[in-house]
Amino acid sequence: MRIELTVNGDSSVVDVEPRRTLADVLRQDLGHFGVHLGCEHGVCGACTVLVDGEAVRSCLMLAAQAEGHDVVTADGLGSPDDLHVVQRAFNEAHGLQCGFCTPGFVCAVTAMLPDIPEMDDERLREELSGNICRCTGYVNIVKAARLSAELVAAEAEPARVEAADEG
Amino acid sequence: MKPSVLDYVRVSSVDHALATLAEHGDDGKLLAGGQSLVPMLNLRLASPSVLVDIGALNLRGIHTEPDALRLGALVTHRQLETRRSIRAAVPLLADAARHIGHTAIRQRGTIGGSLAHADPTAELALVAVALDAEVVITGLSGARTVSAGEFFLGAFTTVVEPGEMVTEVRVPVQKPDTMWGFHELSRRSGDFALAAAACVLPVDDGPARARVVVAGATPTPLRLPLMEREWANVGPEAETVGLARQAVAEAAGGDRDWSEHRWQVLSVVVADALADAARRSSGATEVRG
Repeated sequence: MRIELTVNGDSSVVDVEPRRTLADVLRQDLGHFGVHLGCEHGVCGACTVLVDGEAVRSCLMLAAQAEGHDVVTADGLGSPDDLHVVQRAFNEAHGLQCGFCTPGFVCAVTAMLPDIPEMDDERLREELSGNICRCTGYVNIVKAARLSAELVAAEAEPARVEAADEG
Repeated sequence: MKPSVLDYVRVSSVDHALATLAEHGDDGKLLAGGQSLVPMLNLRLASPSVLVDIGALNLRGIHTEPDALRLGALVTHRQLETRRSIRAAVPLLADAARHIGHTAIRQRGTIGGSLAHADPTAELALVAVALDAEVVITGLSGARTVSAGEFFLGAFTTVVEPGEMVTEVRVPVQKPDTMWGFHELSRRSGDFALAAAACVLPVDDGPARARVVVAGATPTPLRLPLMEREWANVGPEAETVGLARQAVAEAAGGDRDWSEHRWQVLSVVVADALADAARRSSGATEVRG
């Protein structure tokens, strides 16, 4: 069947069997290999993308269900020359090792970004618990999430941050 | 694995959905949020030949009436968790919803889908019984309403007949002369529950009837009449756990050769739900569990 998907702002028409998941179509038909498959039954979060700004497990959505919605993948959030604030935070906080879970975490953190300032560490860890990492032990991932929110706040009020530094 | 070959129909109305189900009989399966169905397709635990995608249907309404909340079947767990109007009217439902899986799952999963799926440890099935909610089931010949207590027949089995679909859930507004509690035990945050319990209890000898329900003991949510009668008469935690064990044994009936671990899980989760109610009604700081 032909479906029209809007991914990272670009509209594409793909002709795929209805049983194809969003994850598989993003990867194989649209070349977004940054969408990773860890479990294909919704428990690992590696496949997390944004649909209409919210975190969604792309392995649990049929591509057909994404028609008419805005899909954003981690590679669509920013590029090496123009990193998204969450990508920059994961870089600076070294929130990754092998990188397999990272696109999923980047999308998950992006979705929860506005709410992070209100979260204490226990709550933040609970929010991040939908994504599994086998390498890092999560410490730097939590730091990266926290740093993302701080970078957003700093970008929003640069004058205030400078004043605080001077004080 | 990948799902097996299937056809897909995106329906545009409830009538269209029902007609499509009628056309395909046992070969057709409704697709709402897909958070239970798509994993089953991916693992080939289910192989319907036709998926009827109801995601575009106008079943996302949230209507607050004086005595009840009317929720369209496609209202998501995330909405149940975050909407102020829902938290205000039925806080037990809102609290149960935030325990479902993880945020990304709650973003897509729906109340109609969860109830129709009827997982024995599902949080919404449990609180639907605790709150005496009603489920509206629509078929080609019209709609019927079934109380939550009668909706579930067994594991993954409900009274929804082939060719019917859940369209609405009506939840009575929790009354000010009641207190409520919820507790879930799982190995890790977001895992399927080992067991869960919910209670709605009268405050200060009020006229409301107590409702104490446990999920994970039997294939469907289980009311605990002994606990509903005696909950106010037990004091220290050990007594409550002991009474809970008796109550579960009595209600579940039969010869249960459960392990001691299973008995403890079921007894403690019920006691913890009651403790949660006491803590909330005393105004103590919310303990996140």
